[in-house]
Amino acid sequence: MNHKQKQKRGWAEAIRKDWILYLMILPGMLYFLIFKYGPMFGLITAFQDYNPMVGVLKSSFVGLKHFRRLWSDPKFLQIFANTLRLAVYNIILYFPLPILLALLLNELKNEKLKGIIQSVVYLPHFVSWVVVAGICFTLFSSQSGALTGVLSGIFGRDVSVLSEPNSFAPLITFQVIWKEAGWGTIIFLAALAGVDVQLYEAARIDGANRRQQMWHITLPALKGVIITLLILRMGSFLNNGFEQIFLMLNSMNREVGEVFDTYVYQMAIKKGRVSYGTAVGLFKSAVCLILVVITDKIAKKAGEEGVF
Amino acid sequence: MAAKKNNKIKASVGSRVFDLVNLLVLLTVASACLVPFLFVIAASVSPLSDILTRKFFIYPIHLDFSTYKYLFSSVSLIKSMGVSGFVTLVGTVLSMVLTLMTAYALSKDHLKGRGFFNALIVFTMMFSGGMIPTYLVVNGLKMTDTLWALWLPGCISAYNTILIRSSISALPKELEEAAVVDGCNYFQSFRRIVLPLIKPAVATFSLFYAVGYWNDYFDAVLYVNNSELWPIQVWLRQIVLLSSGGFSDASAVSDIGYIPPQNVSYAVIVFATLPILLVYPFVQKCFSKGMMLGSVKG
Repeated sequence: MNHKQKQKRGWAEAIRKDWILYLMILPGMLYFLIFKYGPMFGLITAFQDYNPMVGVLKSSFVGLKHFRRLWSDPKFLQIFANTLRLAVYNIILYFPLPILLALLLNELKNEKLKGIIQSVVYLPHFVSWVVVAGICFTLFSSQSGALTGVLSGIFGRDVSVLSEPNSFAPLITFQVIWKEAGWGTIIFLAALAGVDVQLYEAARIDGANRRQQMWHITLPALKGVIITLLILRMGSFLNNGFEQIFLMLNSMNREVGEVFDTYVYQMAIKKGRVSYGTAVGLFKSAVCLILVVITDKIAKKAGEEGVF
Repeated sequence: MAAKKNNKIKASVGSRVFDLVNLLVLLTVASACLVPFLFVIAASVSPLSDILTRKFFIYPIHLDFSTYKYLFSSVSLIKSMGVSGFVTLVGTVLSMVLTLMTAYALSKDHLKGRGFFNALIVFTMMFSGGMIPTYLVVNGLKMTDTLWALWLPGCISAYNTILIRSSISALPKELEEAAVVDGCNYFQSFRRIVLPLIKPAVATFSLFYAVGYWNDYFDAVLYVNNSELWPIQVWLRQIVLLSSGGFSDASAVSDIGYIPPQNVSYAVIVFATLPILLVYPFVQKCFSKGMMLGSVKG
């Protein structure tokens, strides 16, 4: 009782003293409560048959019905395979590139040139996915694309990059590489800025050449960042870039291109199956959270810093 | 002795070859980033006949501004540029003010409840209600078909808040203490002491928010049905999908009602990118500074 009163007085005291700070943080906290925690509360829709006439609070509960339906949905395995395929493409083809690019930039001794190249390779990151999709359409559209002729020359047949199921994952990955590989270097370059120059000097005196310096000093300096980013990527591996994929999907490639988020949109917004869409979304978010926690534990066991 | 010298020369030759190859690779990467822009700009000012016969690459052979004339005569596209500009300006100011105030309060170690507020924010980086529940909230607040739906649902980025908080925490405590002794309250010391010191971060994160608002199309697709309020990105999407050969969602493009020639999409791409290309050179100097401050400290 006494303790509780003290606690209470503590708050009153804190608010009286720091009321300006609390006033400053209030709008931010309201934002997170309404637009982040509000939707989390709204996840109960996944356990209801959502009825738009009565809203989330009064719709009838149906328990795990939608999750059971998810297991038996033939689309589910397909989506899972599509997601996995894109994630594997991304990890193998995209993930090493920013590291490589950062190593190369780090070796460039002319600071001015380095600055110019950095500004240029960062630029695509600031362009919208709609513009990237637009450029791709103008380059590859089957009637009038600027590169369509070149491609059919290379492959010896007409290639319609935008609609052929086989080219979907490579196209998506290629877009990610163009847009994000340059920007991705920034975190590695930041880590490299912290490397002690004396290490390089010592290595040089010991007779290490450039390649050896890169391999034994620069790359180990990046290890922590690389592992952190891998953990975060594991956690988001079900979150293939939704805005991007949504733009590139069409009736010809939907079979290989549909991923969790696009399916949620298709179900809930286009077909009005709000509760089912929410259940699919909840399944995805929960798996993501579990994956981050697990990979983080593994990284910590292996002696790395982890994320949390 | 001689062998050693020889070795040294060899190493430096190898090193020089490496430098040259490295430079060539980096220049190739850089041009791969630039060429698509140049190509689109060149195409947008080329006559249709040149585009169909592909008589240009990254610079136009013949100049023809008819697509721009056509676009400037189309009220809806000019209006959508206005909508995008307005959404970006107001949104960026709103986001920055809220983010800065939250980050500043969170940077004060003695603030009671700080740990709780912090945890509240960090958790949203790992778990979210997702698209549909967010849609239900926005819908429930009667924001659909208003610009609020483009501003509020993504107004504060948890990630940006944490980064700005770290760069404020990294400032020397004495500066603010001196201000408090001189009779400044927190708000005054925030405005007069802290803000001027984190200018690079403010510039950087303003750019991030502005780019986010300018580039956003999906919130508009999801929340705004009224085509009067469509930002430029949504128009670009409609036009590009429509000119891409008609295998896209027919329902998504029915609002335009005509099939624009190929070169119109080039010009609209230029429209949708231009403001970023114009602002970028001025702000990019700041962000290596502004970003690294936060990211190194975590």
